[in-house]
Amino acid sequence: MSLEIRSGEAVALLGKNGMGKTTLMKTAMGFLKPWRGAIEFDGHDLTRLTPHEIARLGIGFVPESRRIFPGLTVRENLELGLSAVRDRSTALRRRRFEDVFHHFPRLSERLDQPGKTLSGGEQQMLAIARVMMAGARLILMDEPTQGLAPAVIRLIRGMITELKRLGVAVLLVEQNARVALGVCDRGYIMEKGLIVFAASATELRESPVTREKLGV
Amino acid sequence: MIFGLLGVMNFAHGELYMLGAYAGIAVIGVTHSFWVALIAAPLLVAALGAVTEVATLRPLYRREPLYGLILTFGLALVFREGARQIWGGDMRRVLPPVTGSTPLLGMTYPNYRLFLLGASSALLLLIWLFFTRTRAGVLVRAAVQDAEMLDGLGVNVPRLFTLTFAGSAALAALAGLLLAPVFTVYPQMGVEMILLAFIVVILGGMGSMGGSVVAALVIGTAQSLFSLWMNPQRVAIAIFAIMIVVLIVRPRGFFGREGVLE
Repeated sequence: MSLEIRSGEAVALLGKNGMGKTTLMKTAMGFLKPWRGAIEFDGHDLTRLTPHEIARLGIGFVPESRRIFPGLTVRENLELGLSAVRDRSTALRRRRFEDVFHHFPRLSERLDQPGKTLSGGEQQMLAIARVMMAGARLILMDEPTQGLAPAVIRLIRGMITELKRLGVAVLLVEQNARVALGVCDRGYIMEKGLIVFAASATELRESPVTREKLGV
Repeated sequence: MIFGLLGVMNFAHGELYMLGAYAGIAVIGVTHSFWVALIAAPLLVAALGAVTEVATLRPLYRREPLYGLILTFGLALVFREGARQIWGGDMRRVLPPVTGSTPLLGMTYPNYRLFLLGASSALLLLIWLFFTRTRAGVLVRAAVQDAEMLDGLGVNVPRLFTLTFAGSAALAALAGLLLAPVFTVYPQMGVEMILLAFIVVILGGMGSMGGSVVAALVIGTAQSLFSLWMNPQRVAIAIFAIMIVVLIVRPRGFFGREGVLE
C-alpha cells in the first residue's frame, strides 16, 4: 500500500473493522515494526525510529479510546504533551496553554481534576489538546468521534479544520465516513491491509465504490 | 513503584539493601566518614542497579511476569554470593555516627534511633514531593499508568525505566546503610528485610504509599508488642498470620486499589 499526506491537509483512512487502519497508524508511530517497506516524514525513515523519537520529529498520536493518563490531572496530562518539545521555556508553555484553552475552554475549568473524572467528550478534547501542546505537524487520529455526542463531534470537526488552517497535516481513521469526508480533503479506503480506492472527499462521497466497500 | 512500572516483582531489592550496607562499609574504610558513605554508597548501588536493569531486565519486559520474577530471584542469589566472596560471611558492625541517648516519655532513647526517625520521615516527605511536585515524578506516575502512550508523547521510556530502577536501588542502599549501625551487616541481611518489606507493601495495598506507611506502623508496633511475650521465631509467625488474615478479609490490603495485582 502507498499513501501520502501533505501539510495543511486532512486525509481520511476508511474501511471496515479489522482492515488494518489502526495497525497502519501504530506502525507509523513506531509501536509496531514493519517487516518491509518505508514510512517517511520530512526525509526521516520512521521504521528505524522508536515512538519517542517519532514524536520528537513532530508527529502526534490521538489513539482510539483516548488513552489519557487517568490518575494525572488535566494540567499534568497537558504538560506531558510538551515532552516532545526540546524548548520547554515558560513563554512557550504559556503560549501553548493559551492556544489549547482558546480551542477547548472547558479544559481550563478542569485543570486540577484527575483525567478519569472527565466525560468522554472532555477526555477526547484532552487527548487532542495533548498533541497540540507538542506542536505536532502531523497528527494521527484514530476514531476520535467514537461514542461522542453530536455537539462534541462538531467541536472536533471544527478543530480538525482549524489544524488544517494552521498547516498541520491530519490522518484521520474513522468508522463514521460521513464525519470523516465532511472534514477531510482526500480519502483512502482500506480492505485487508490494502488500499482499494483513493479519491477526493467529494468523489468518495458520491462514488458507488464507497457505498459498496463501506456500506454507507 | 518498580512493580507498577516494570511489571517485575523485584526479589533482589533486599540484596540491593545489603549491598548498600557493604558499600557504606567500604567507603567508610577509605574516607572514615559515615556521612560521605551515606552519599557515595547509594550512588554506587544506583550505578549497579542501572547496569542490572539495562543488561538483564530490559530484554524481559515484553515477556510473562514469571520471567522477571525468576530473573530477580537469580540476581538476589548472585548479589548475595558475590558479597560473600568479596567481604566474607562474617557479621560486621558499623558504628553509629550519632552517639548518646535522650530521655523520652520515661525511657532512654538512643540518639541515633531518633535521627533515623527524622531521616526516614524527611525521606518519605521528599519521595512524596518528588512524585507530586516534580516533572520527573509525574513522568514515573504516567509510565506506571501507560508506558507505551508516554513513549508516543516523546518521553524516552526505556531511559526512564533505567533511572527509576537506579533510584529504587539507591533508596534500598540508603536504607541498608542507615540501618547498618542498628543491625549487623552480613550477606543474608536483605532476605529478612525484604520479607518484612513485602508484608508491608501487600498489607498497605499495592501502589499506595500512604498504605505502606500505615502498614509499616502496624507491623512495627505488632512486632514490638509481640516480642514482649514471644520468642523471635513466634513473632515472625504472628506477623505472617496478620498478613494472611488481612489478605483473606481484604485482599487488596488497607488502601490498595482493586485490580492492581492483576
